[in-house]
Amino acid sequence: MGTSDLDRQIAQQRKCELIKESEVRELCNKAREILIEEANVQRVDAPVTICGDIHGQFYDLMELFSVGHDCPDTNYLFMGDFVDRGFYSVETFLLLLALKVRYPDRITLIRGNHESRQITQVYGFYDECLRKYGSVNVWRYCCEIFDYLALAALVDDRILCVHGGLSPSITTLDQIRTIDRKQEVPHDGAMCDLLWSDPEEIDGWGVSPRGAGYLFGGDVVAAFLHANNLELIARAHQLVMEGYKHMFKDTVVTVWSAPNYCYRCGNVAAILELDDKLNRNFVIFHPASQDARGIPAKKATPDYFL
Amino acid sequence: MTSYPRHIPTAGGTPVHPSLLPTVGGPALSHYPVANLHRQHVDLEGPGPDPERRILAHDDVARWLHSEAFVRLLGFVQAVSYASVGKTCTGARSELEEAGEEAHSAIRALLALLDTLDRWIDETPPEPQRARFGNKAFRSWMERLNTELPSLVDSFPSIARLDLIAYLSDSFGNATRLDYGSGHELAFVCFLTCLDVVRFFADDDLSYVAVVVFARYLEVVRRIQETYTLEPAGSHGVWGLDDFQFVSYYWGSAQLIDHEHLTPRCITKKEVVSHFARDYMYLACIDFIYKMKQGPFFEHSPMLYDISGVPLWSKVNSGLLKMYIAEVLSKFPIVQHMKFGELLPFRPVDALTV
Repeated sequence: MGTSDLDRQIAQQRKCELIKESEVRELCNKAREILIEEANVQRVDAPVTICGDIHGQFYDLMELFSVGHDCPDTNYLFMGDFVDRGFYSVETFLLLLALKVRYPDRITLIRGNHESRQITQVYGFYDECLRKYGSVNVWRYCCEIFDYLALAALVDDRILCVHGGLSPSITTLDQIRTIDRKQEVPHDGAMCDLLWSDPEEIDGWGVSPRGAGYLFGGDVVAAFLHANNLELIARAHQLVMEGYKHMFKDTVVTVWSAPNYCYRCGNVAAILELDDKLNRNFVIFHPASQDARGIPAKKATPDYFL
Repeated sequence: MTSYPRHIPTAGGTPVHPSLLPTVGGPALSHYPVANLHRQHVDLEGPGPDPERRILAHDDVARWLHSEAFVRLLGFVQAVSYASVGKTCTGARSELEEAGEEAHSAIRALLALLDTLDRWIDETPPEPQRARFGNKAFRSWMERLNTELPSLVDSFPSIARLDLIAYLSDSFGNATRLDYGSGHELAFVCFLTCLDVVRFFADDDLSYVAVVVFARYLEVVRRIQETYTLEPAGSHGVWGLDDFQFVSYYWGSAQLIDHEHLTPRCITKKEVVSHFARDYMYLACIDFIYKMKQGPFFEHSPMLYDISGVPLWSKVNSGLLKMYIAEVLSKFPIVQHMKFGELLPFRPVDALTV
């Protein structure tokens, strides 16, 4: 597919239109070629805008691009959890993937804990693919792509971006680089922890109530930053009322990009703009207005009730 | 008053699970053999060890679905549903009052417990704070729960002590994450099931378990969710029934079976919902959603909206049970947190002698 064809497809996708299953397969094939070359810790140059969880909230992603300006005019780094829970996980992920194929150096996608076969079978993406395409092929193609997503990103060698957090198995960035990432997210171990852990006001490590990953305290963060010559860990994975939240004297920041989560939480969303000197600017945004939101297609009565 | 069977009799004397769609990656539940729930076989000499988690990996889910715990839970949940048909919450409350203070002591003990927990919310106001999301005062409320649980369960059979403490402590949310989800609701249902296993409920108590006790539990947890702005734990978003509850809809739909005027379609009418919310748990849950969510109902709650198109409440009821088994009880992320003891044993159901 030539560039102009891809541009045409992206224009279609920006209107929240579904692309054909054959187009999904082709898009995923192209994306794989690009992602396979990326490192576990993908290097990214500032300036870049860092984004947190989207969870299928397509129209709110449009709002994000509106306040942050479109890709490729702005460089973007998305920290995972593109799918599940929202109405439009398919459209959301495939648009981001198409942008990745079109502008590979302008957008970076790293893996969240929801980019997983097991999780997407529980939290909606699987069901959505089945309903929208009538088969699970698109889900399978996307899950294969999930396996190729980088685990982390490093901005100008100073800011580490990861979906969840740290791992007791990992003290250096090189240890992340040695992981074989091309697999389903494991139930435990370093790769799992990076996508599942949470910072917490404790000393050292704690058991995570999520049942995967760990809780990690400020002392762990300080040691990690020092050992790896970093100034900040940017992560997502947790809902934040005000869109972003610092911890541990601004050495960890949680960025959350799904406004009014579950239509009830009343939270705003945020993106973190880094300029070429790594100065930080947080931009807050609200859900897209009601008239900007499409009307989801009516679904058939669930099989349970027939 | 009709009495309802504790166990669901079918041809041949053994109950069968409702036929179910195969869950992704697992066999249809109708393939599992099921034994009759004979509580006279519960021969407890003393409290067993502390209940603990047994679902540690995905393979364990199938073992759970084939366990005595599962059979006991399902049997109780269905029996309570049958016992709730046609009963309003307000009508049941009046019946209780008229029956006098000596009657239905089991129900009264549970109401007293829930009233205490409700009062603690008043005594533990939310902190004015800039937190990530949930309010940290909920940790104080939970601390109080865990400290006082041993004395709170004194009103219940001592043989069930450790099990009741284990399930109750998980019934109101998670203190670390400041969230609440269907797993916490499940813990409370397990708590009630344990009480049934040790015969705490008299036969004529069963029709009050959902419409009085569980309805009161819902009031308390809704207050907790709102007061401490708890996060929806593991919500399925638009692909799930509700961010917080599920069994409330199942038992709630039973209340409305054969109602003369209120059809499943009525949930789309806000005024009708709010008027009848005090009588019917299903409508109280919908009312809470109207209160807490923004935007059109079909957008934020499409599953509930689709279910409103089902013609009969009895179909809603049976469909919700299938959905509960497939979408909640069969899903590792939820049931990994479940605990198993002597009253809800992880033992395979084949071991149960009939």
